[in-house]
Amino acid sequence: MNFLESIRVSLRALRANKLRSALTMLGIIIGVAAVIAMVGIGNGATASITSQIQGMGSNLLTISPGQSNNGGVNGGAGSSASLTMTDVSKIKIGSAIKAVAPMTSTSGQVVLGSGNTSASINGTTADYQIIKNVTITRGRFITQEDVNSSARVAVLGPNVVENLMGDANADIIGKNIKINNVPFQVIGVTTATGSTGFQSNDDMITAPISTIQARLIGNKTVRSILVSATSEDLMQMAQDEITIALRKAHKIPEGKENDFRVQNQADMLETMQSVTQTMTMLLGGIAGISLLVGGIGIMNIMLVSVTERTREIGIRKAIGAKGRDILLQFLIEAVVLSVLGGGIGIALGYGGASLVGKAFALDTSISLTSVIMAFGFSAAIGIIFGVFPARKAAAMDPIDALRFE
Amino acid sequence: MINLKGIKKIYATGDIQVAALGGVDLHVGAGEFVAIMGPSGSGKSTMMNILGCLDTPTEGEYYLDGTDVAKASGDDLSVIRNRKIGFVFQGFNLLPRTMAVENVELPMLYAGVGGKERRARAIAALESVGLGERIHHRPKELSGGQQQRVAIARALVTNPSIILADEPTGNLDSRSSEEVMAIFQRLHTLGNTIIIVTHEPDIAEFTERIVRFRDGHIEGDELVKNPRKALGQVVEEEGV
Ligand SMILES: Nc1ncnc2c1ncn2[C@@H]1O[C@H](COP(=O)(O)OP(=O)(O)OP(=O)(O)O)[C@@H](O)[C@H]1O
Ligand SMILES: [Mg+2]
Repeated sequence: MNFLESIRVSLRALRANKLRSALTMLGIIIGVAAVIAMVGIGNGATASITSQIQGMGSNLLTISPGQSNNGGVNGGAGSSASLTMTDVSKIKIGSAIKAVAPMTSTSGQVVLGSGNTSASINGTTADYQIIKNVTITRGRFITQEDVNSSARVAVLGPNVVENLMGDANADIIGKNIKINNVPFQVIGVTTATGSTGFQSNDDMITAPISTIQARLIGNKTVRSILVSATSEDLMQMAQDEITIALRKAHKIPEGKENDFRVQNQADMLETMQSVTQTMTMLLGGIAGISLLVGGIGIMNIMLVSVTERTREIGIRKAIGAKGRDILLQFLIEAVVLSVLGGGIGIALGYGGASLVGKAFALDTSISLTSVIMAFGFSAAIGIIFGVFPARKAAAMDPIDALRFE
Repeated sequence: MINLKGIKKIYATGDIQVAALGGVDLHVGAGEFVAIMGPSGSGKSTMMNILGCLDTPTEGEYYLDGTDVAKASGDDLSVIRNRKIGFVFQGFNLLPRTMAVENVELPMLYAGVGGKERRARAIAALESVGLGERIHHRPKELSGGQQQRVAIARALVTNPSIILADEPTGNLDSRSSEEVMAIFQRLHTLGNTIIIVTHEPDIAEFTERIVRFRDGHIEGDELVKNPRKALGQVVEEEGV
């Protein structure tokens, strides 16, 4: 019997028991859909975090307090307040370093008349604008004078304006807002970047760091220092200069570790990506287990089916079917179930991932390789879990099978 | 054609050994029409299963068309069953939920006959047993006699050297039985070798030779003096 005939015979058998075939496929459908969706969402999250980090500024170095601990996630890092405004002044603008801006942040309740919202508030200096490429639609950004005089002025992101006044384009320049009951005068509104997620300037209020420290936080903490290198090639040089300057400022003896760390974007990317990749693998792994369960479901149903159709097998063998013909028939049934289930699962997983992507503004990218892999994997499951029942069927003795009641 | 030498079949059930066949010698020539008779448990079905290559003897030689098939393996036996033997079972053994014509096509499917030819030959075989108008019926939509005729069509469609039938009329009333025997008689006149098992003496009288079994041995072997002619020679009797 040729292969095409075997496929036809198998399809007929599957059609004869539609409900059971559909339920068997369901296991594979759910498994494959879960794998595709999880990996797609994971990839989307990775891509989104990557673009956010890349959008944080060009040639950016971030200095944060804490032990130097490359790549790893150190719970203690950032908890000790070892950076000060003096450190900031020790990092000199030069051939390698273009701009330096200290950062401190807090969040607070913002009130304007009857408008009221909560926002995160960044305290920084004028250089922040250069480092983060902040553009202003109306008014101006904070200046060095504002910082020197601890002026109670604030630059608002467009979303904050919208939350306060109901319209991002409302005239807010010169108005007095209250942040945690401290009055600030609005001096500028940043251009909408359209980006979402953490640290988007659209949702932020920026004010002089001196003002924030004195009025809102109540101490002189500098949470981090942002440094922009003059070019990508000079990143390493800038990093070295910073390290030397801060070690000297902190009087760290030779051989002792830094009490701060300087991270560039690549480092941060690596850290974040390794986190999201671990997440993706974890989710994919869990989904993979459900695929395995689906495969066992196929085996189970095929075994039942072989027992149920013992007489049929006997008849087929009695009139000339070889072991191979029977093997092929049952194997094809298993593979058709798993591959069809895989195909539907891919479609469902794709749909599910793009739905989640829409809801969370993720670019859920489903790569061709993951589709091919899911498809190949489900075919493999069909073969692996189909072989045992199929061999059992093929090995049946014709008279024993015919006598079976 | 068929040559059996010292065929034994011993079943071991626990400690007890049952010799279903205790050394059978038998020769059946081409074109013979033989009935195997004997009391229940005498080994007739065991004999038929061995003749039909569904089962292998514990001991002895079985020459089918000159080749010893007693020691053949599973897949080789499948090929022999497919090419040389048409088997008709007492319980019909048709595939349920499968049309008559597809049931008849089945042996040709495993013989590798192409789809068009398969269908044409299956229809011709069904017509020859008087079921030309029932080809799209499923077994449960057919009477017992009609089902047995489908089974006969399936057995003869590959032009086998021998047609074997284990109690082909065991489940049928006398009229259907006679119709089935009429088909066998016609196949016999066309030159087929046919061996049937039966309990009923009147059925055996339609054949030309009767082999009697008792306790796994051949007890008698005689020619039928005047074989009865089966009536109801299959004409399309639909609409009755
Ligand atoms: N699979 C088996 N295992 C054990 N013993 C068996 C088996 N098949 C048949 N036998 C024994 O072999 C003997 C012959 O059985 P067989 O089926 O050939 O009888 P039979 O002549 O066909 O009887 P009947 O007319 O009732 O069909 C019986 O005693 C039976 O119990
Ligand atoms: Mg019997």
